[in-house]
Amino acid sequence: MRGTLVAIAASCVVSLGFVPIALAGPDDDTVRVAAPWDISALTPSAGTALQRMGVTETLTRPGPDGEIVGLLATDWSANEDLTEWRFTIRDGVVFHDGTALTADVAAANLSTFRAENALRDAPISDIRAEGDQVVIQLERPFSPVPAYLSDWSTGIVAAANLEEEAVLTPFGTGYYRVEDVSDPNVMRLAVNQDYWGDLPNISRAEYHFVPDVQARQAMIAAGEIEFAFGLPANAVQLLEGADNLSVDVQSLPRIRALKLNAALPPYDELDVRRAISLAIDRRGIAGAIVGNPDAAATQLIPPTLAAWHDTGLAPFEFDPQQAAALLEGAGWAMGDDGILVRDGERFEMELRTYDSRPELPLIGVAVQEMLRDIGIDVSIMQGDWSVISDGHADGSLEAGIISDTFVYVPDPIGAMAENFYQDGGDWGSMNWHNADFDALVEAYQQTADSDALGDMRRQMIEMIHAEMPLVTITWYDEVYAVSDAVEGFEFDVYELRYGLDRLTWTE
Amino acid sequence: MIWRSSIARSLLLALLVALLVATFCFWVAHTLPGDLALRVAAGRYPGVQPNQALADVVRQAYGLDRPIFVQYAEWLGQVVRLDFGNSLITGRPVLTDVIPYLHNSLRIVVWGFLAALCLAVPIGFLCGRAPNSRLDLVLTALSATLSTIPTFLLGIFLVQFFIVDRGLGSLSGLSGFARLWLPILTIAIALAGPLSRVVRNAVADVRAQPFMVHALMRGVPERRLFLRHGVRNALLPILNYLPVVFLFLIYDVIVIETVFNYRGVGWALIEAVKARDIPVMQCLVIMLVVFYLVATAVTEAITRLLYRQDERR
Repeated sequence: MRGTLVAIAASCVVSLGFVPIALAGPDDDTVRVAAPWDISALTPSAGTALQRMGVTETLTRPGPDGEIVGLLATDWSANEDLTEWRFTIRDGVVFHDGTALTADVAAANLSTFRAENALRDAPISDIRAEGDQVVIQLERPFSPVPAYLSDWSTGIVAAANLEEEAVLTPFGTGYYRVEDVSDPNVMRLAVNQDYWGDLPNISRAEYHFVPDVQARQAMIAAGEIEFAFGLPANAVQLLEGADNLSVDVQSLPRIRALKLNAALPPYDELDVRRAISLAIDRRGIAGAIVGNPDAAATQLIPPTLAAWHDTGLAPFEFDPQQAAALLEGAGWAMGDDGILVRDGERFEMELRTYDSRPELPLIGVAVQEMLRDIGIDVSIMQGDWSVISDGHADGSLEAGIISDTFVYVPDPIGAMAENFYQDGGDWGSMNWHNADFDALVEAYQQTADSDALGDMRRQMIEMIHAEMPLVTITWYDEVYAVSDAVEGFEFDVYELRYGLDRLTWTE
Repeated sequence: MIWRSSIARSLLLALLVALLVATFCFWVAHTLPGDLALRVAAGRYPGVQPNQALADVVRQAYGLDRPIFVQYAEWLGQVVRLDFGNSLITGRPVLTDVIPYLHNSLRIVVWGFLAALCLAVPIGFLCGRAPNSRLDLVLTALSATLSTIPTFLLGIFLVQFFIVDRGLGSLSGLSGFARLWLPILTIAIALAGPLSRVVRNAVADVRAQPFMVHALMRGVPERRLFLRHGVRNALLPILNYLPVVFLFLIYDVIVIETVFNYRGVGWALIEAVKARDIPVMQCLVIMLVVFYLVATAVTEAITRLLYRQDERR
């Protein structure tokens, strides 16, 4: 009896010890990507995976310098007052189900998903097809239409998908077609032999939704995938010893910032907002928490978006003494407990932060300490991201550490309008009103002249820099790892595509 | 006839409890602070920052602005027809999304449970046969250690040690020995600790029974004696403990699937709760409750079958 039981137990342990390992790589000609972004519904407006993996395509796309160029549209034109835009649809393009791309299908796509995709922010009155053209009619002049149509959420799918209540297999026009998506977290793709452009070198691709950062890190370290995105800042050190991959850091047009409710005293005072900005050691935060001192923000938008980065602007300063002087000038006096007092009221701040981006609570604690040094008593309220959006919606938010991107529409005017125009937005300013800024946003959307646009961009950035409706703390780095098995990868700062079509296996 | 009514009663109880638990989850999900539609929008449109415009789209598409009683009545009406509706995130029928998760979970749960038995029974038997011996003390210490290590820590350690450092396994995919052996081993280790203690005590108790001591003193071979009389008596406390093991199993599966990035019921439940995908959450909760109640009912049935004569006496 004893012998039998021991033998059973031993065989279990021993059999578990010998494991056949199947690693990814050139052998099965499949490039694998792991990312923290859910595949979600299989419609172009829902998740970025379809667009980034080359399944769907948009009518336009941003070129290397940010200029908008054609993709499924060959060219476009607008009437004189920019209220009607016409996009000519590329000839000879077929969807993955074999049907042809026509202006009718493209227009139907844009109409169907309009409430869900980037076009929801555009003043569109009608979308229709005329011959081989998609015609977009607007309620008022609107120049960034081509930029809006390059957003991932405006990808085009076959007519069959538009009729489905729930899309089970999306048919795009891209260089990869969906082969299997029965597992809602993995998308298996094969090359689209009927693609209108150049075919990719690698015949298959897989997208894995892996929400756990440790798992993504372990997968790339074990050689199971070729790309791991959304890694923590310390991945550079953690994966240093791995000899089969490289870890790269790419600056993105995304910021981490302190959002202040400008309707609440004392944040409605410019000097108080300036003092808070002066008290924050951005370089210290960027070095210690973000892992890159150069990520310390010197103005709202990083140099990655050259057209919106003003090199002539004086950088943000770290000067606690000047901050204290500004607060003193605003009537605040230091109390016995080291906290500022004015008219009998202590300077207390409730700072909200959320943990879906793990560095934000740490930045919150650092800001708490820095503001304490100038006499502001900060209490931290941590939750998930809804503490910011709910607080913005019901007006209860005092201050919050947030993160936002400026290229969810590839032209940052989309983000500027959503984040700073009129009352601001959930992930931007709050109750900051500046009629001149609002007029600039409106004028920008109605202008096509590139010189005038450049001048307006500069003025908008200067206003935000001077009035600080949002105290920008750091810019954002995307940390990602790439297997040495592939070459030819280039990071897309607009986060629209992984560029899998350019990859080759390393010799 | 008695058996048939007993099974029917157990099934009815399972369904009733599952429904009550799912109802509780439904109300909790709807009464949590914050805008439910905004949270669903964040899950459904993961590429953009959640905003009110998308929340309104979700609210209208799924009728989340209707009175909560109307939504509950609709959900209940669907569930009794075994229709769990569509996922708020993927838009697909819930069962289409959930069945692959169930399949994946069962794969590691069944093998994990069997592996736990393979570890726990021999260890418990060896300890119970010589209670308070040096071997018993060593194995008791080992079992206690394994029982007290949090499963997520054990999982993280095994991932680092076997997969990252030695390449002996995989974190992607859903099948194949390379993918499955480590989650199975983690489940086995997590369950084997407490289970082996139950086996050990059961065996030690049986060996201390007067009839066993007497028979051993008379020179009856221990192996024959234990197989004929000991196993049956030792099995009863083990069977009685199994419902607790099933509870551990549910907890462990949720943790282990998250650590190993294994897309089973536990992993999906965490994601559904995060995204407030209520239909998927309800379906998964019902599955877990039904699993527990059915497994417990089967254990009770086996116990009754084995010890029917004792009950009659």
